[in-house]
Amino acid sequence: METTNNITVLSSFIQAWTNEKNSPEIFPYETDLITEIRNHINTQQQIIDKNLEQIKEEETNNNDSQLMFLTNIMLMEVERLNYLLRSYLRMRLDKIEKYPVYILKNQQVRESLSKEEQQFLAGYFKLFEKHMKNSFLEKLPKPLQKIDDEEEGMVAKPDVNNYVACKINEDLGEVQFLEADTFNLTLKKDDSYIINYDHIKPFIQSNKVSLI
Amino acid sequence: MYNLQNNFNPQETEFLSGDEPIKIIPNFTLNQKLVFLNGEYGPFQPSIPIEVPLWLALTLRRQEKCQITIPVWLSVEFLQDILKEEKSRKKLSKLHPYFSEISAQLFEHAPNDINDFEKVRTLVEDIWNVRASKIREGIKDITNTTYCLSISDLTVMERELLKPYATSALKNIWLIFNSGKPIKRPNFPNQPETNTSNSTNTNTIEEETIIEKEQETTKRTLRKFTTEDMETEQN
Repeated sequence: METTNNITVLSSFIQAWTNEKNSPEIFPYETDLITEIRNHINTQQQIIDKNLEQIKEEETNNNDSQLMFLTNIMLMEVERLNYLLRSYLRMRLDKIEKYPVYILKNQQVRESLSKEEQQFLAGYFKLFEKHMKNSFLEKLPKPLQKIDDEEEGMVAKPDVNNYVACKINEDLGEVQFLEADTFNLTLKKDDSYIINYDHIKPFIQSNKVSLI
Repeated sequence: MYNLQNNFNPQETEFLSGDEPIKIIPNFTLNQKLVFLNGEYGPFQPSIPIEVPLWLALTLRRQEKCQITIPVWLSVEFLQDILKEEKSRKKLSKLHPYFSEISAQLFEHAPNDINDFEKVRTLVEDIWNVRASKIREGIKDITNTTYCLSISDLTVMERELLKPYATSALKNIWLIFNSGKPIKRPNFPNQPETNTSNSTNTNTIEEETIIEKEQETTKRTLRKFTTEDMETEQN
């Protein structure tokens, strides 16, 4: 049914937003969810614009207050969705700005970005490189002019050992995590933990564990 | 980089709580359906209760177009039971995840719809204080070998307040704990990440023996921490 599908769109997007906020890495771009949300926003925005025009034309009419009231509510909902979208996109852009070289070198991560984000990355890195060269790199001897040297640790990589809060969505039983000694944890449904991101990373992709 | 903080501030949790459903009794008529992303609401008839998202309920209430039906968990009897339960045991009681946010917003915008408003407000404050002291007690149990923290019964507000502290504390513990290990070199581009136990290529023989000695002499026991572990461990 349409209604139940739409409930999952919003809650899955909020889950993707929360995952993005909590994790040090960039998750795959949620193209389908975002397209659906933008479609909804566009249809609502059209109705809002039509209503506002209609209200402008008819100066004093009893039905206007009803129409204005309805339009205001629709505006509020559109505002809320826009806020979510903007926040999601801004978070991803901040992460791209933080790890440009790592993403450029890593094909897998680059595929998580949308086309527009990849363009942003290319443009940003070009500016960054140009700025570095003009500031001081040109004046250094040739071997020291690299800005993407892996061995020297120049490439900032997302730290997968950050601790994150997560919620278990399915009964996973006893899971073994590798540390200096291995430790076991019984993961039951609806439990929440603050745990090393590296340990639960494999479960996030299959949505068995979600970040909160 | 504001956007890269890993926790929600109270305004953001309040925003998230806006999608929670709540029952209202409108006093206006609207024959159309409101089409939102997560469903259709309406039509609205006076004196006929209807369920709407919290943000809509509060907007309508501000314009005095409805009366909000206070949820069961915000009544005096329920809160008194919860307070008794909280005071009697170490484990945190189960509350609505957006307990603080919803009660704060209802106090601000719909105080007249709440029976015994003053009493409810003091009860909510008392419950918050008891839980906060329990959480503080529980945090004292983080040792230099804690590897994860169980936060199953925290509400969203409590969790987001705890997160910055807990994540950085546990991260630092992890760093100290793993400081005796060989440094993992980043692997590019498509090599699988090697486990610490397999990363023999970066070690010389001397380094390996030193690390082994360290691990033998310091007996580390890893513990899982829960707020109820204190009870079970004493048994």
